Parts: sequence; C-alpha cells; structure tokens
Amino acid sequence: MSRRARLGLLCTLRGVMAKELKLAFRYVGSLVTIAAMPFMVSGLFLGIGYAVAGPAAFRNFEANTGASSPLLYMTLGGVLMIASMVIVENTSTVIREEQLMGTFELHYLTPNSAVLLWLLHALAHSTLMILLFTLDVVAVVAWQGGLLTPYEWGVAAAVILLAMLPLAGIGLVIAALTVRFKEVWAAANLVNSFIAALSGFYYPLEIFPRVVQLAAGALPTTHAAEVLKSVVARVPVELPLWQRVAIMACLALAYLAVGKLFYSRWEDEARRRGELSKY
Amino acid sequence: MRRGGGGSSRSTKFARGARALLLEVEAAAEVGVRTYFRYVAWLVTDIVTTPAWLVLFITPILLFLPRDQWGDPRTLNFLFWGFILWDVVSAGLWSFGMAVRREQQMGTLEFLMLTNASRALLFSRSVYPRLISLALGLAYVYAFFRAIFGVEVLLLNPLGAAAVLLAGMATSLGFGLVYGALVFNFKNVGPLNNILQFVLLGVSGVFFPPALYPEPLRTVALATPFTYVADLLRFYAMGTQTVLDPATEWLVLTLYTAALLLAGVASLTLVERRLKKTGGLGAY
Repeated sequence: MSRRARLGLLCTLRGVMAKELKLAFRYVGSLVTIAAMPFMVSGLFLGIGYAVAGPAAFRNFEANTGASSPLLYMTLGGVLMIASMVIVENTSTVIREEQLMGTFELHYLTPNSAVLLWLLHALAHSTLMILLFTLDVVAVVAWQGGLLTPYEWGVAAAVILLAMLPLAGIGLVIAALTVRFKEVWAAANLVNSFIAALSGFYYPLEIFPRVVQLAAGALPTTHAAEVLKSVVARVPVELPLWQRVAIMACLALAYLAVGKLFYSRWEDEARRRGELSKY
Repeated sequence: MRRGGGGSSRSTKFARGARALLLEVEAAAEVGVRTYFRYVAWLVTDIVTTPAWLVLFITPILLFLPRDQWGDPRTLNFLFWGFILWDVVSAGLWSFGMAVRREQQMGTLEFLMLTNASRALLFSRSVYPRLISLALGLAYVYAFFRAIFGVEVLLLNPLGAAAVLLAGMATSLGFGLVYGALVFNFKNVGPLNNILQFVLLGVSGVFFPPALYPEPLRTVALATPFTYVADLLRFYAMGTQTVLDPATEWLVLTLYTAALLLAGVASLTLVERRLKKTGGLGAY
C-alpha cells in the first residue's frame, strides 16, 4: 500500500508535468516571449547605458559590478526575474484560474493533497524555467566564445529550483488571501515588483542601505542571483556557495511551511462554510 | 431590432451627425472610466509598486556611469521623462491595440458589432481612463522620483509638455487602432506585444535623443511617430535640443497622428467587413 502511495505521487508528478508541458507548448508565443524577455530588457538597459555613458560605459559597469560582460550579467538577472514572476503569478492565480475554467472542484475529487498538487505545478514550471535559463544563458555564453560547463549548469539548475519552489509558498499565501477578493493578479503584481526590485537581479545590492540589504536577504531569489552571478559570470561574492545554499534551503522550508499553513487554513474554512465552489 | 430600422437598445439612430458622435463618445468614456475605477486594487497596486519599478528600471542604467555621476540631474531627468513616456507608448499596444481582443475574450464583441456605433470610438474607450492614469501617474511618479533620487524634475514649459503628452496619447491611439485591426484579424498577439513594446521604446528615442543613434537606426527613429513625442516632450520639459526644428516636429507629429487615426478607422472597417464575409468575426 505504501509503495503504491509512493508511486501515486510519482504518477501525479508525471501527470502534472505532462499537463503543464502540453499547455506551455500549446501557446508557443508565450514561451517564445518568456525566452526573449531577458534579452529585450538587457538590450534596453545596454542601449540606454551606452547612450548615457558613451564608450566608457562597459568599463564603468565592470568597476561598479565586478562583471566584465554586462550582457551575461543582465541576462542572468533577467532569466531569474522572469522565472520568479512566472512562478509567483502562476501559483497565486492557480485557484482563481481553475475556478474560472470550472476544474477546481475536480482536483478535490482525486485522492491527492491540494497543496502538494499546486507545489507539483510549481515544480513543473521551475523545470520549464531551468530549460529556458539553459537556452538563454548558453546562447549568451556561446556568443562570447565560451561554454557552460556541466558543473556550472548543475549548480545553476539546482539553485534556480531552490529559489523558485519557495516562491510557490508566497504564491499559495496570495492565492489563499485573495481568492475571495477576486483581484489576485493585482496582489501578484505587487509581490512581483518588490521581489524584482529587492533581489538584485540587475545590480549589486551593496549599493543600497544596510536595511534594504537585510530585507533582501530574506528572499531566496537574492541568494540565487548572487550564486548565478558568481558561478556563471565570475562576479566575486562575499559568502561561499555552501553557505548560500544552506540559507536558501532554510528559506525554502520556511516559505513552503507558511504557504501550506495559509492555504490549509483557507481550505478548511472554505470547506466549513461551503465556499470551495463559490466564485 | 424592430422592422423598419427601429433601434436596438443603445442605438444612436435617434440622433444624427455630431450629436450621434458625441453620444457615442459619452458612452465610451462612461464605460471606460467606470471600468477603470471598478478595479481599485489595480490603481492602488500601480501607486504602491512605483518605487520598486523606478529602482528596478533606473539603477541598472546608472551602473554604466561612474559612481560620482549617479546623481547627475540631467541623466535622471532623461530617465524620468522616459519612464512617463513608456506609459504613453505601451498604451498603444496594451490598451488600444488589445481592446478588440478583450471584447472577444469577454464575449461582448458580437454585441458591440450589432450596434451602429463607430467601431473606432468603441475600441478607443480606454483613452479616457488612460488620460486619468497618465495625470495621476505624473503626480505619484514625480513624488517617488524626488524622494528616491533626490533631484528636482525639470518642467520648463508645463503647457507645452501637457500639449505634447496629449498629442502623444492621440498618436498612441492611432497606432493602437491600426494595431487593433491586425489583432482583430490575427487574434492572440499578447506575446508579440511584449517584444514589440521594447522594440518601440528602443527605436523611438524614448530614453535618449535619436541624435545619439548610429545612422541606419537614426533614420528608423525618425520614421517612428513616438520619436517626435519624446523629442518635443524633452524640449518643453528640459529645454533639450530637438533633432528637427520644433515647429517642423509638431507638423510631422500632427500629420503622422492624423494619418494613423484615419488608417485605424479605415482598417477596422475593412477587417470587420472581411471577417463578416468569411464568418471569422466570432472565431477566437
């Protein structure tokens, strides 16, 4: 029985993965946009930066960030930013979207835990984001005449996964808090903007006051950005890799626990009041 | 619809000429403004998230300058007005360009097509809330900008700047109507909007003068209407040099805007007629 239960989880994971990949590839335009956005944003920053600072622009950039390639630095940040936005938005809107499609109740007819099911969705999205990261970053590294080594890719993939999954915890909190107020997209936008600004995707956080750095340290994406910049773009960082990973693992557990707590409370309340199917 | 042409619910057949047009404008404005204020959470989120977007957008650009120039008022003013113009440019794609698509998704497109109202007026209803949000945006972006970066925002000629912003919104509307007709035809262009937005911002000199562009790009910039909006806005706000003479830029912008609006109205009519013939009007 327990073996069947374990296999059941794997079957659910396979089902969710298959569903999400089919959906992603059905809307190829969205997939292309997600892959192209880091280049669009980086291109805009590089263009404006060069226009503002002239030929000394890239030298100044290296002096300010420690990165010799602004394109790689910004693409890394861009991929991570887009990935975090996708995870937060997809998880936040999961209840509302399923309700609007009329499939929300169907999930409750299966023997799966709803929280686990939504986290598996986040796992599927994170896997997709790792694929996009590979595509974008390999392209930039290759364009600069280099190669992403298996070690670098392995660390980057693990760090992205470790940074994205806890965001699903934030998503579940937003989903649970806003499902009755309908405007879940506005709440996701709010959270996304502050994650994007505080994680240092496009700049080193050392340029900000200490209090901002402390707040940023509570975000898993901040540590992921630091690790990616140090491993892939060779930017010198303060903390060693294992310490960053340990912090990220602790943050992941905390975020997921909070997400589960909020969602379970909402679910219990909704079951008691008969609001699970109330739109 | 009653026999003999008697009106359906909101028909403007009872009015003619300019009065009918005004009634349609009033109805479009009413629905646009009501919808805007119905989603208060979006309004609040726009305000609350502004500091985060300002930091996210401006800090990476400052990294290309030596640290002692990060507070340079001229550069920061360029970026402030660019940030404001971003809203004007994106309105063309997201608000006006996607109006048809939104009606399709809400299932109300066919009902609108049953009326005798001008399609261009119906699909430009978001210009009214966009004007409100532009005015509000100027106020709160200014407040946050000053608080974060500590520089005075230059506004040498407020009337001139306001006139350019209004003209820019009309340009954006014209561009959006033409683009909307394409959306009408090709349906799901949401992903394209994201990419097109950055291309437009880049080639239109929204953040830096096109005079700094290398030659082939400079010609492309001068062929884009938003280049003149950006150039004239910086001229009135910051006193910067324009690429062409300001009067010539006004003339080009006015003609360009008029042409875009006419093209938008005509293309919407053409696409509607074609889709009605092929039965593609209700196909999503």
